[in-house]
Order: sequence, then structure tokens, then C-alpha cells
Amino acid sequence: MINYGAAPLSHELEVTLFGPGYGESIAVHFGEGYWMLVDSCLDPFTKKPAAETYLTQLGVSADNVRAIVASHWHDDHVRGLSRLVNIYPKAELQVSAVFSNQEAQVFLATFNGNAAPKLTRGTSEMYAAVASRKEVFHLLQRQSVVELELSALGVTARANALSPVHPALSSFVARMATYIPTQHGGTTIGEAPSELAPNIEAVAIHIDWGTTAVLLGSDLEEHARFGWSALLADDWVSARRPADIYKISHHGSATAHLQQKWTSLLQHHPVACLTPFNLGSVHLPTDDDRARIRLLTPHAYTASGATRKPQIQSDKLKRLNDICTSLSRLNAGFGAVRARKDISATHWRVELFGAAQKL
Amino acid sequence: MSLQVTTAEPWRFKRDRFADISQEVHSLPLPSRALEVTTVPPVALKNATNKTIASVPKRVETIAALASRAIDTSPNSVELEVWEGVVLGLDPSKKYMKVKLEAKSQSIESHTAEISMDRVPEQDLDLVRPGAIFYLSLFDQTTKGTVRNSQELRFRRRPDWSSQQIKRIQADAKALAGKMRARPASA
Repeated sequence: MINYGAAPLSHELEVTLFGPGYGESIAVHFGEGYWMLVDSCLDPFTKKPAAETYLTQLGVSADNVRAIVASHWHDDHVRGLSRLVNIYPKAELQVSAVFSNQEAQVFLATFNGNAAPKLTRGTSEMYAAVASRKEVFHLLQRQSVVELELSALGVTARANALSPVHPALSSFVARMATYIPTQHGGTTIGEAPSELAPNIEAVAIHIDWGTTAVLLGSDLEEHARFGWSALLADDWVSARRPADIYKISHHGSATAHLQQKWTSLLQHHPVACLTPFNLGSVHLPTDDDRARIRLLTPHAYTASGATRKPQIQSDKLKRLNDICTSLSRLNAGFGAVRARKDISATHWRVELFGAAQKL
Repeated sequence: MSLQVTTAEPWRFKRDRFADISQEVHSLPLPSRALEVTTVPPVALKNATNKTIASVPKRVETIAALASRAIDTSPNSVELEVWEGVVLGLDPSKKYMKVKLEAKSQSIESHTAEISMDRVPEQDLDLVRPGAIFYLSLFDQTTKGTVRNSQELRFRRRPDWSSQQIKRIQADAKALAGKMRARPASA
């Protein structure tokens, strides 16, 4: 198990990114002991949500977690979410505004594992989390995630949603609707898709402390009307304070890249961090992605940089290799990238834990 | 236990002996329609003393055929591992599928891989889509003293949604709808 050391001081800001190789979770310390969690993945050592393991080790009171944001419903972003929602009862659960739509709610209910056991995806975790709460809040561009008056620090911390944009909702719901049964039956039981590309439903978050800012890009991809270009076309978004810290969107993929994002929403050479994504032969970030990101900033890190070599007994591995190609471990090398700074300091201090490393 | 039941064998079974075979057939992983033939009326056996299997009722023939077919492979097959797979996606050319594999033995952590569509049985090709479930069984099969590597990849076929399931979905979705609130606009 990783030793994370001491909790941040009251006047220290923090962004910690956890990644097991397939999965992502973020813990943000606003200051004065208040926290926000974005997405969830499992710590392979404790088998619990990585954020829970972390906050427990730091001695954070459950009451000090103010919000849990499920940026989107994909399996690699929601593992353990329902547990987080239960152990931090005072934290508001917030989800993408796509789930304010009735068809999207039917989609979650269809693949929640109740109507058809085992027929689940990240949808079952999302459903369980939402179902366990009396109230769930949904986020659209320009809506507030958290606003905190930090009286001792003399600042207001504002976390706002930059996405999804309103036109993305109907587009997403139209795609999702093809997976739900018709009201009168006669539809063959299918399966929830693992994802609906490109990702236009994810909640990207901008956090501003008045002198410094952070951009959490979630898995939002580029799209002229629904993705990063659409965000930057909005005056309110482009007027946000350029961020010093950037959680790179969609595992550093080219499909989420937009040069203008690096010039409009980010400081020159920001601290940038990402989690990898491992799916068959798809490994994000690719070598090209890494090279591109390194050109944009010398301060780029990955939460999990370890090997993905299969871990199977040799006889079984040999046989599987006769049938499969690109065989690799789903989770490989859990790690965390932590950036901290005193609110009055000019630079962030980066610490790497476990399998985290420079990109 | 090795059972020698063939259609050519003269009918010599006593009632209790047949019950053993029936029990055996019940435990075999055969389609449900095959199991119905195991309920042979004892009276049919009692009256069949001097007859060959070929001349007893058709249902008995079917039992013998099933038992014979199952016994032929089971004792000579050693299961190496069974993986439950989920199709995560198809490549644009649809020549291979990206999959997640979870070992049924649970002694191995989850892996991802790619499998050529050539490996998918023709009758299952229509089932291959993101989210589809399949089973990949690896086993060693011994035939006449020769051990062969064998594998089977079969997709789970699903029925239509039932009206009960749809009612359940509608109720679950309705429960979600009442919880949703919009966050306030940014200051």
C-alpha cells in the first residue's frame, strides 16, 4: 500500500490524480480542509476506491468532502463510485446533465443489473450511486460545482462546469436511445456499449481561487459543436483564468487535443497529468501523444507508467496467445500524481507515488 | 464412470441401471430440449426385456445417443481455464474485436486483448457487438492417447426483453427522475 504522508495544511491547495492503468480518480483540496472528488477508480492494494484509501490515510473527516462528481458513466471512471457516495454522505453527488433526460435515465435503469442480471457496465455503478441518494445534481456548462468562502484564507474557491454544452445533450441521448428497449417489448436484449464516441457528455471542471486555477479535462473529446471547440467558442469559457494545473482530457488522446485549449485555457508550460487507458491494442497515450504533450509542457506526468505485460501462468498464456493478440493486463501499476502549493506560492510542488512517472 | 450405451447394443438394462444413466444425462450441460428425454416411463423399460434399443420407443434412443455423445468427450477433456469475455469494441474493418477477459477461476486478474473475427463461430457472428458476452474455454483433449489443444468460443444469445423486465426498467427509471436537480448557475 502506498504511503501518502501527511494531509495538506489548511492554506495548501492540492490536486491528486490516481490511476491504476485502467481507471481514473481525482481528489481536490480547496483549502481549510474541504475536498471534492471527481470520478472513481479502485486501489488494487485495498480493493477500495482510491480516493477513500487516500482520504482515510490522511485523516480527512468524511464531513469535509463537499462534492463527488461523476464526470461521465464509463466503467473506467466510476468503479467504486457507489461506495464513495455512501461513505461521504454530506457530499453532493453531481452528474452530467445528460442524465436529467428521461431516455438517459431509462438507459441507466436498463443496464443497472436489476432487470437483467449481469447486463451491466459503468451504468450499474452510476445507477447504484444515484439510487442511493435522495437528491442528485446535474451539471451543464456555466453551472457551479462548488463555491466555498475560505474565510481564513480570504479567498473564494469556485469550481464551475465547462461542459457538457447544451446541444450535446440531445445528440448524446439520440445515440443512447438505440440501446434501450421499446415500451411494448419485441426488442432483443442487447448490451450497454462500453462507450459512445466521441465523448461529448463528460463534465470538464475549472477551479479558480482568484490567483491560481486548475482545469480538469475529464474525457471530453474534440468536436466542433459539442466538444472542446464548442467550449472555447463560448465567451464565458474563454474568459476563465488560465490554469496552472491541467488534468489532460481523455488520456492524452489526439481525439481530445485542441491547440487552442493550451493557449486559451492554460498557462504557459502548465503542470499536466493524465491517466493511461489500456484496451486491447489501444494504449493511450500513444507515443505520438506523449511526444505532442511533451512539446507543450516539460511538466507532464502519468499516474501509471508501469508495464502492461500479461500476468498469467505460462501454459495458459501460450494458449491464449494462439487465439488472442495484444494481450495485456487491464490494470497495471497503480500510482498517483500529487500537486500541492501554498495558496500564496507561485509554483506547484509535484510528488509521484507508486507507478506514477514523468511522461 | 464410463458408460457404454450405443444404439447397437442389445437391451439388457435393469430399471435401476437405467436410472443411473438418466441421472448422468441430467447432469450433462446439454440443451434443455435434450433433458426432456430422460424421463422415460419405467413401464416402457419393464416391457422391453427381449428387445434391442433400436426397437424400444424413440425417446430411449435419444437418451442413448446423448449419453454416448457426452461420454465420448468429457472424460478425455481437461479444462485449463474458462474466460468470460466482453466485447469492448470492433476495429473499423471489423476484422477483429477488442475484448476484456476475466478468468472464471478468479485467480488471474482481468486482461484485454484482440481476437480475430475468424475465431467466432459463424452462427454467433450476429451477436458480436460492443457489450456482448462470450465464453472462451481452453482445454486439453485426449484422443487415442494423443493430447490436443482445444478451445471453444461461444457467445451468449439473448432473448427479447420481457414485459416484466420493461416494467422493472420503467419503475427504476422513474425513481431516478424524481431525484434530479440542476446545480445553480455560476456566480
